Amino acid sequence: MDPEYGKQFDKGDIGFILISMGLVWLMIPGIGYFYSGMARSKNALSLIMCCLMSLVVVTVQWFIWGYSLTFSKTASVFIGNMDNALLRNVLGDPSIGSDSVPDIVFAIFQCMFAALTPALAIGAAAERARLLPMMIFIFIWSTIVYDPIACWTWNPNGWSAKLGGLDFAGGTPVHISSGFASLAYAIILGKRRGHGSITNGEDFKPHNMSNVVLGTAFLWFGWFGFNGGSALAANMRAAMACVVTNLAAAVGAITWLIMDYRIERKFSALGFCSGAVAGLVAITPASGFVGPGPAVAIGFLGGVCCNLAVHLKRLLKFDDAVDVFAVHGVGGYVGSVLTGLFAEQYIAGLDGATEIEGGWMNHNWIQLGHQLADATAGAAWSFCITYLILFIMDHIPGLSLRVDPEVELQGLDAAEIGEMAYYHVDKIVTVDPQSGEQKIVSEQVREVRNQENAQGDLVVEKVVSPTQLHNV
Amino acid sequence: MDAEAAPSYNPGDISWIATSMVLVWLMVPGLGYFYSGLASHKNALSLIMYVLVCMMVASIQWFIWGYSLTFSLGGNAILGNLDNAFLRGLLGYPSVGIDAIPDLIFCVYQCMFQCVTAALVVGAVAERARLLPLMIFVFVWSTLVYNFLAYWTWNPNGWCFQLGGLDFAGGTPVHIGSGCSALAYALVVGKRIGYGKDADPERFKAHNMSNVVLGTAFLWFGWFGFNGGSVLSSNVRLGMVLIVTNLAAAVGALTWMLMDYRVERKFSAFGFCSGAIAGLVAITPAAGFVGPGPAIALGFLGGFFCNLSLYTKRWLGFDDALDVFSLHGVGGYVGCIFTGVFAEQYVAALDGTEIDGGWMNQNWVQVGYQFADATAGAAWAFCMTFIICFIMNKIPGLSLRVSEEDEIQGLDVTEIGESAYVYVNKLISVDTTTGAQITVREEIKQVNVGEHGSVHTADKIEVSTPNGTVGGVA
Repeated sequence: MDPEYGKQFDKGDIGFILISMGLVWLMIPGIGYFYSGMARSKNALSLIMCCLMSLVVVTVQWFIWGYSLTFSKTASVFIGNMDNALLRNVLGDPSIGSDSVPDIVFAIFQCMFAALTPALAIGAAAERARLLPMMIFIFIWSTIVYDPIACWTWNPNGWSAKLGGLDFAGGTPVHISSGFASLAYAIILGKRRGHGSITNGEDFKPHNMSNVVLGTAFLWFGWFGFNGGSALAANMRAAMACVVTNLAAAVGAITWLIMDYRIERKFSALGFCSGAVAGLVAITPASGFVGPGPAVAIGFLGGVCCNLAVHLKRLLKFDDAVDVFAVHGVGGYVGSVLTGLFAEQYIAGLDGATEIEGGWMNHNWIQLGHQLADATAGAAWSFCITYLILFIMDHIPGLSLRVDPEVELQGLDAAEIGEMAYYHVDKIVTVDPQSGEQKIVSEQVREVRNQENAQGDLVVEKVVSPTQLHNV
Repeated sequence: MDAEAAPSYNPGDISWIATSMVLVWLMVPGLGYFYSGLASHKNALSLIMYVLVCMMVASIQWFIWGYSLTFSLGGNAILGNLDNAFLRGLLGYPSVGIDAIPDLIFCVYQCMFQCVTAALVVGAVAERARLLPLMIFVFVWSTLVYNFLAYWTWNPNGWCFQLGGLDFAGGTPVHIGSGCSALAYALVVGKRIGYGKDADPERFKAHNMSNVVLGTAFLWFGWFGFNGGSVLSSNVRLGMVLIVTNLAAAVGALTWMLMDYRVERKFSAFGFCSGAIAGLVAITPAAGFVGPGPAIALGFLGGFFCNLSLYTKRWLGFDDALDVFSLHGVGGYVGCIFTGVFAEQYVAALDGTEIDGGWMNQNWVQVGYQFADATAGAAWAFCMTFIICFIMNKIPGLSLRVSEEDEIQGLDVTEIGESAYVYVNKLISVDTTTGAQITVREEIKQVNVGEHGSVHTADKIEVSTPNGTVGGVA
């Protein structure tokens, strides 16, 4: 190999993009904990695991043909080809995203985006989807939904890039596509048992807000790599992207907090977390094109629109368990549209190389049309193709998407994973009213025993013995 | 230091290695949560704390003479000397590992590796080891085991380095070293009470799988610094290292999950986490030498062999509480051997490094070197650790294992004096006619330290009895 191969890159650029890769990686467990905390405790572990499974399935898919279908250098306007399948010829040549980083660095960075997107989408399937079909779905969905949309947006040959649609860090490929895919998944799966009825409303509360906040922390932290790293170099544009990211997140959080306070007179933590994420989603397509002032506006409008969009699931009667459509689908769409309004030429020019026409701030009125085209095409493609994939899968024997009703009652942790996130002991104790003496009538350890068949019984009644309580 | 003569470094390189140091640091609390979640609830805090304490002792040992014994340039083929004890002479000169970064950065980065290795060993003796002897053990063990293994592998004078053994990010010093040491420690300390063929299955279950996954996330995230930082520079090879790291972890996770699915028809989260770590361990020696395709093979082989090696624990009857030997010892050995198979010259050449390659380059003797490297490391780690533990156990006051009552009570209470969780047990009586609920008794299970340092769990009792009746019968 030529000893000068790959030496032309700036070490700071490579280092920064690879750190950003690590940050985006951390967003995947982050989304896992976010969803897990919002679900019920009997499904807690399944939601973390679904997100991590998305990571592993897409990593392998990306290697096999995902990167090639998205970023091959001789792609068509619609999709790439197999030139780089199995990551062949992906080494030290300047990447298709930017001359500042080599192919291989760009490939692993983009892999994390691809791995994050299905993890977002499956949130809507929470608490009632079988895991094995979900894994197969993720593989197929990445190939025929994520890869084309990402190709349109980020491959210079893609139609949206050629049209002039502005999407910096992936509002359309990541957020709009996952949001609308989750809508399709939720509609096909149907509502969770007991959801929507007034008497059972209390049953569907988040079981662990601490995990939701932990997840939000990982997400916000990682988003600096998501938006900052999309500058594909360690330069002023990356710095500005980090600034507007943080601003939008903060303003989004405050906005949602205030909107909820108006109703309930409380500062909801879930409102804070959802608002921060909504602000981050909205700023994502805009982060390399807008300045700090517009970032405040985008964070505010993202928070408002996503907050209102949460009510859609009641109006349209679908069960989006963790509000993926409201935050990512609607937030991404809003962010994309606002990018057309607030994009400014001087921000894109901060890296010394990028020239854009700008948005309404530069009197480039047509930009909004390009944004609408980009966002709507992505939404439509994602929704329709996802619905088609799921519809066909549901009708293949063995790949049915929804768990049995008994399994849903038991909780996915026990039935699909075979482990619980937490162990509970329910004790029934009688108190003799005269003497005050207590006797334990029954003790139930909610746990999973080794079963021969997939759906065994969950609750095991036991006579009390000291060793039984060791693990509680 | 003369300002003009001082060598100039690229800020990108220094930044990346500094970041990698932070990432490897994060692996230590990650390990703490991983182990903590797998143990029982009454030992939860002890495992997080033991791991952090190991990091503390290892860092200090590194400063005193650990760095010097490992990386000084005046030693022989087996060990360094004390030229750099107390980090004397360490400032801005080009480091032992690579010219591109200064000594100090390399030193603190390598310190994190020793911390991780020391923390790994704790897993084998979870739930029954005393903390003070453990701290002394870590100091002695770092000196007599880790420093030797790391010297052989990474110091240019070390015999393994000179032989041509390929070990990129420390399969032998870190994983084989910790795995085999953990085995020796576990054998000396003995099995936990109640462990064995007719063990009560609930006693030995994970108490908080959520923490196990959190720990795995920190470990996987930090491993990008573990393997990535071993490039010691920011370049195209770094991109390849991170790709193969991520791939091997993903494939390892999938492999183990599917192997477990075969047995129990469930997608085990524990299988996912163990498999990811097995894949990461297997890719560690190979990360800078193999391409993406072989990375998948290594991830698969790591997951496969580590999964099978879990059964040896039952077969041979030793109590490696948290599977350190299976994951790290076996995984490290497998990874080391297959590095000799899959290493390719073009990958190392991405940053200008020249190697003879492995079987993919028809360099058949490479596997022999790998066997030498891995086996010597395993043998030294196991035998030395066994001797250290055996001798310590005989010294009065340094016995390694807690007493039986302490083990039953749980190490949180007896060794640390705090609980990870505080339980409230409420007894509520319901009036059968009105439905009113009265709290009869409220117990807060907490830990009180007595006058002479004795620890006992106390039950704070509050009894609320309106109208003087217990039970609410009017």
